[in-house]
Amino acid sequence: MAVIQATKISKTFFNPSESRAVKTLDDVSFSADKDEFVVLLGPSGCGKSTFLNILAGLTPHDRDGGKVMVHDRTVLAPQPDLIAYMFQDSILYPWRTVIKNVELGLETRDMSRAERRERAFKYLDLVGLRAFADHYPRQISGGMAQRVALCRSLALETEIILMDEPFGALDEQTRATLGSELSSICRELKRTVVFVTHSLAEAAFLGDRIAVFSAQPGRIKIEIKNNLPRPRVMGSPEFRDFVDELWLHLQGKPDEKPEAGPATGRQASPMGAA
Amino acid sequence: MISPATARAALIIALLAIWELSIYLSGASNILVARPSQIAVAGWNMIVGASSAPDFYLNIGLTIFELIVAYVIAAVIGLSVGTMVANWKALGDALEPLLLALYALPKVILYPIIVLTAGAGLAGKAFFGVLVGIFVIIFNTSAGLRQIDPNYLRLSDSLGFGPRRRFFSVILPAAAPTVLAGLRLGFGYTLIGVLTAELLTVNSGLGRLIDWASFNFYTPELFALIILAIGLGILGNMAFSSLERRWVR
Amino acid sequence: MGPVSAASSSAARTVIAIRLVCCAVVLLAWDLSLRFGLIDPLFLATPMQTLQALPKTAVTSLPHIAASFLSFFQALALGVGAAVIIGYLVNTSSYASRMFMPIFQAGVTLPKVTLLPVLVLWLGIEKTTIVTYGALSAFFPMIVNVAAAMQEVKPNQITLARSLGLSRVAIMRKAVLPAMLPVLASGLFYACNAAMMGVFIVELAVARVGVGSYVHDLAVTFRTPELYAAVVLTSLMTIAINLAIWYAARHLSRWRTIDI
Repeated sequence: MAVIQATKISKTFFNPSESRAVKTLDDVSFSADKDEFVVLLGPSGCGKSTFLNILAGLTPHDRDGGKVMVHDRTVLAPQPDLIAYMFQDSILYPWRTVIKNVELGLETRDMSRAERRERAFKYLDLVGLRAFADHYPRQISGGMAQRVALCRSLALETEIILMDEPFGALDEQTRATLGSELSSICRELKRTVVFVTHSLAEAAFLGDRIAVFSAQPGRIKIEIKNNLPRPRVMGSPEFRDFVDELWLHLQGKPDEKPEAGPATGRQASPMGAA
Repeated sequence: MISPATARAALIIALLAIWELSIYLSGASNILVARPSQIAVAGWNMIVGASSAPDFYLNIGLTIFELIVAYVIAAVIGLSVGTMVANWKALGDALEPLLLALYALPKVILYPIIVLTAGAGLAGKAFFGVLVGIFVIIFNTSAGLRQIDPNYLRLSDSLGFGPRRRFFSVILPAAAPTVLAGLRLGFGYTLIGVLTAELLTVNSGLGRLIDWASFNFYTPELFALIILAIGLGILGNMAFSSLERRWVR
Repeated sequence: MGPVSAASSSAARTVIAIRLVCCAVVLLAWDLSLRFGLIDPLFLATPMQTLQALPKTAVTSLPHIAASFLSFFQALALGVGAAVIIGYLVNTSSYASRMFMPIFQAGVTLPKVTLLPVLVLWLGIEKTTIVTYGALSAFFPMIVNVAAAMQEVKPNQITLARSLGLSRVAIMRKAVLPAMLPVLASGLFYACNAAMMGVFIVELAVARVGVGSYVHDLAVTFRTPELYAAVVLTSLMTIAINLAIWYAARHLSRWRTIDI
C-alpha cells in the first residue's frame, strides 16, 4: 500500500545565461510502501536529489500532469506533519544548543514546552547523545551533528522520512556506524524512508528496494528488490554479489544477468522506462 | 545588462542633473541652495583667485599641513604601539580596556580642553587629529600582527630563518593587508579629526574659509569648499587603496 | 600551586602592574606640569581641583546631560532605523547591493562634519540639526553592518526552516534574525559611537542646550576646574554606555566559531 506516490514527474531547469532549458527529470514515476526503506541510487548529477526535493515539496515540478501524492494529499509545499527531510549537511543552527536544534521542528506544533523537551530527549537517547543536550554545534563532531539532525527529523514523528545523502560528508567508519544505527532505528520506529545515495555499498546495506537512476535526463532505469537477510554483513559473499549486480545495472549492462535464486536476493523486475 | 558600477555612475549623473534642473526651474533662493553649475563656477573662481575668499591657498595649505603632521604622528605612534601590543601579551591585556575606553569616548568632548592647553592653532588641531586617527591604526596593527597564521611561522622556523628575515619575509607580508587597511582608515579618521577641529575653531585653515562662506551666505562657495574637503578624503582613500593593491598581492 | 597556575597568576600580576603604572604616570604628569608651570593654571586644573568641582558640576550638568541623551536616542533611532530598512531592501538584490553599497561604504569615512554648515543653514541651530546630524553619522556605519549581517544568513539554513514548514515570519524570527544578531550588535556599537560624537559636535559648535554647549560655555568663561569635571563625568558616562554595548555585542557573538 503506497504511502508516497510520484506519477510522471518531470523537471526542467532554465539556464538564463545560456538561454537553454535542461531537462533534469523526465517522466519519473515512483512509489514507496509503508515501512519500506527505498534507496534512490545513481551517479552524481543524475537528478536523484532534485527528485527527492520534489517529493518533499521543496522544489516544484513541471506542471504537465505529473503529481506527488502522500495518501490522498497532493504535495506542492513542505508537509512537516507527514514528511521529514534530512540534508547532507546537518545544518544545525549554531546559536542553538543541541536540544534546541532538535526541538526546532516541534515549535510550530501544539505542544507544551515540557512535551517538546521530553520528546527531544527521547530521540537524543535513541542516538546516545543525551549528555550533549546543552552543547553548542561547534562543540560536537560531524558525525554527532548528523545524529542530531537525524533526531530533529525523527522527532517530527512523521510517517515518511526523506534523506539526501546524509552520510556523504562523513568518514568511512562513521558512515558505517551511523548506517547500521539508522537501519535499526527506522525498523524499530516503523517509518517509511526514501534514501538518496551514490554509494553501492550503502544502497545494498540499507535498502529493501533500490531504484537505479540514469542521468541526463534523470529517469529510473530499473528497480531491484533486495532480499538479503537482515542483519546484513558488508563483507559477506552474497553482499558482494549484490553490490556487483547493482554496479552492472548502474553501468547499463543488465544483460549480464547472474543466476537467479531466492537465497541470494537476485530478483530483478524491470520497471519504468529504460 | 549594464554593470553596477556604470549604473551607479549613471545614477549620480542623473541626480546631479535633477539637482541642477529642479533648483533652476523652481527659482529657489540662492542663499539656501546652490546649483551644481554655480558650485563649479564658485570653485573655479576660488582656485584662480577671482573670489573674495581670504587667503585661499594659504588656508588650504595650512589644513593640508595639519593633516600631514597629524597623520605622520598618528601612523608612527600607532604602528609602534600596535607592534608593542602584539608582541608583548601582558601589555596588550593591560591596555585593552584602556584603549577601548579611549576609543569609546567621543573625543570631541575633550576638544575644549585641548584648545585650552595646546592653543587654538595648528598644534591643537593636529593633536586632535592624532587622537581621532590613532586608534584604528593601533587596533589594526596589533590585530594584523597577532593573527598571522602560526603555520607560516612554523615553516619559516623550520627553514632556519633568522629574526630579520623572519620579519621581512614572513611577518610583514602576512600582516600587511590588515595593517595597510588600518593606515588607510587612519588617514580618513585623522582627516575627520582635523576638519572637526577646524570647524570648531574657525580661525585658520579650511574652517576659516568655510566660516567665511557660511557667514556671508555665499552658498555656492560653501558647497565648493565642502566638496573640496570631501575630495581630500576620497583622494586619500584612493591613494591608499592603490598602494594596498600594489603591495599586497 | 602548580607551575601553570603560578605562571598565569604572575601574568595577571604583570597586567595589573602595567595598568597601575600607566595611571600613576598620567596623574603625575598632570599634576607636575601644573606645579612646575609648564602650563598656565588658567588653562589646566589640577586633579585635586577637578575632584572638588565634581559634585557641583554633576548637579548643574544634569539637565544638559538629559538633553544630550534625548537627542542621542532620537538620532540613533532615526539613523539605525533608516539603515536597517534601507540596508535590508538594498541587499535583497545582488545587483542593487553592488550598485549602492560602495556609496554607503565610502560614506563611512567621509568627513560628514563638513556638511555641518549646510545643515545649520537649512535646519537652524536647534534640536533638528542635532538629531539629523547624529542620525546621519550613525546611518553609514550601521548600513554597512546590516549588509554584512545579511551575509551571515546561510541559504541552507533557510531551506532547513522551509523543510520544517515554518512560516515566513517564523523563518525571519528563528533563522534570519539570530544569524544576523552578532554583526548587527557590532554595527550598533559603531553607530552609537558615531551618533554620540555627532550630537556632541553640533552641540559644541552651535547649540545652547546639551553637554556640548555646556562644556563650550565652561571653556570660554575659563571655569577650568568645572570644565575638567564636566569632561570627566561625560567621558565616564559615554565610556560606560559604549562598553556596555561592546560587551553585549561580544556576548551575542559567543556562539560563533573562532576560526583558527
